[in-house]
Amino acid sequence: MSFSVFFLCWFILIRNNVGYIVNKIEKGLSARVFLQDEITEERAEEILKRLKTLHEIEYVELVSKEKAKEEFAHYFPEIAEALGNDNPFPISIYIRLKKTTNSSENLLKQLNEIPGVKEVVYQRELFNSFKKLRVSIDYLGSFLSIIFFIASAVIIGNLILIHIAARKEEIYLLYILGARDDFIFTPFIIFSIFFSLIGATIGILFFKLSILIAEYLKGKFLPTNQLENENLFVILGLSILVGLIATIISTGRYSYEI
Amino acid sequence: MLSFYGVYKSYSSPYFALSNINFKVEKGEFLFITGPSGAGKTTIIKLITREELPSKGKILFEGKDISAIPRGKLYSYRRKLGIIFQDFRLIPYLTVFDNVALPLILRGSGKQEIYNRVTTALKELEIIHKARELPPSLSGGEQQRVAIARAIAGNPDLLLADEPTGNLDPLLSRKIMRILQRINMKGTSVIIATHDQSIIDEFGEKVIFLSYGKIKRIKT
Repeated sequence: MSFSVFFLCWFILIRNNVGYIVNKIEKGLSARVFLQDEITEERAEEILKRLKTLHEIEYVELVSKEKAKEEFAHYFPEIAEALGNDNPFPISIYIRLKKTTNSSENLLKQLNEIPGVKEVVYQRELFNSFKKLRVSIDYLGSFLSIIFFIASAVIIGNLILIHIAARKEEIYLLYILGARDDFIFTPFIIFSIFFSLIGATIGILFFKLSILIAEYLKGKFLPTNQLENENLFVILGLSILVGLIATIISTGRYSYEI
Repeated sequence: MLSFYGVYKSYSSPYFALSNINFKVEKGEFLFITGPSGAGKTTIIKLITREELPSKGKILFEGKDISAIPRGKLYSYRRKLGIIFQDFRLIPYLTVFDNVALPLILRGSGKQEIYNRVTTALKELEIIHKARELPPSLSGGEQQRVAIARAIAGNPDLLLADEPTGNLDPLLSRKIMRILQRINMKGTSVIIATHDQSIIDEFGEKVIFLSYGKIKRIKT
């Protein structure tokens, strides 16, 4: 159960983060027009004015070499520090396309043909890649989560069956003396709830610990969005539900023998 | 009170453990069921407690077919019975008092009622001084008395005893039988399954003789 919960927490967290990136990209489908190294500021301004006239483009912004270096340093501070006074970043123009733009390929071709433009990087490919990644994560993560929780349910169910088998004579006697199913099996249900709760709590604690480690290594990894506490309570509830279902199936199998 | 009509019982083979069993037990009656080992005595007890279902025929208790009782309502029927097992079947980690109280706890009786009934039953069986003991520390005779106390604590309509003297010496056996007679005289119907002929000779008023799953004769 601990492992199932640990895996589920990480699956949801990764999915949320990829979804966050997808949404952010989708909000502003953009491109970066990288200009040639030797270009002058005046020529860059001319290109900027020309791009503003294109009807497919919603927004343009000139990104100077200094600003480009600042953006890089935000994500990779150690590498930026290592660069010292060197600035290998070219001048670029950030453009945001209108959402209704469908003829992006023609636009890209047009941009590439502008004298002074070195390369155009369009984020739609990146967006599509992240979208595919999110779908893959959804399918794989959901499938694995279901498998792990089924495995947890089987383990809990078998544990309950072992306990019942160990007390078989006593349970049989209780039935003959007039006990109801709920009297006999309530202790097992309480046990499975407790067992699932402990297992899920351990899983969540390990998840929190792994988040702390990731936070500590923040400089080398992308920043992570945290899993909301509401999600954790839902996961706890799900674990208890899985344990309960497994117990009810196990006890149900046994109770009909008498 | 209890009637068997054309009851057969087979355990997945052409051989019948019981064949065409017909008899009645009136309220307040004291009945012995006897026969050699394998005659079907315990099978009859199990049919009455609904541990088994008849392959054919009907078993009526207070006019109702016990085979038709839904599984979820069986507890209600079983609470009208008191059962004494040959191997006592006491719960080893519960005290004598708690073992006897078990049927009353199961039916949700109050603390005071449980105390009163258990104390009465233990006194009747002359075992009150062992109330706080655990069953493994008791002798065979003491354990059997605790088992009887448990069976009668709930004032059952029908008391069933499967070889109640099977593990006891003759002196103790007679003592147990006299206790069961006293219980019967208070109005509880008693059915005893036993192969102990000496007990039957001394105490048997109404006796059903079984042989190979069939009733050979009924002595009244």
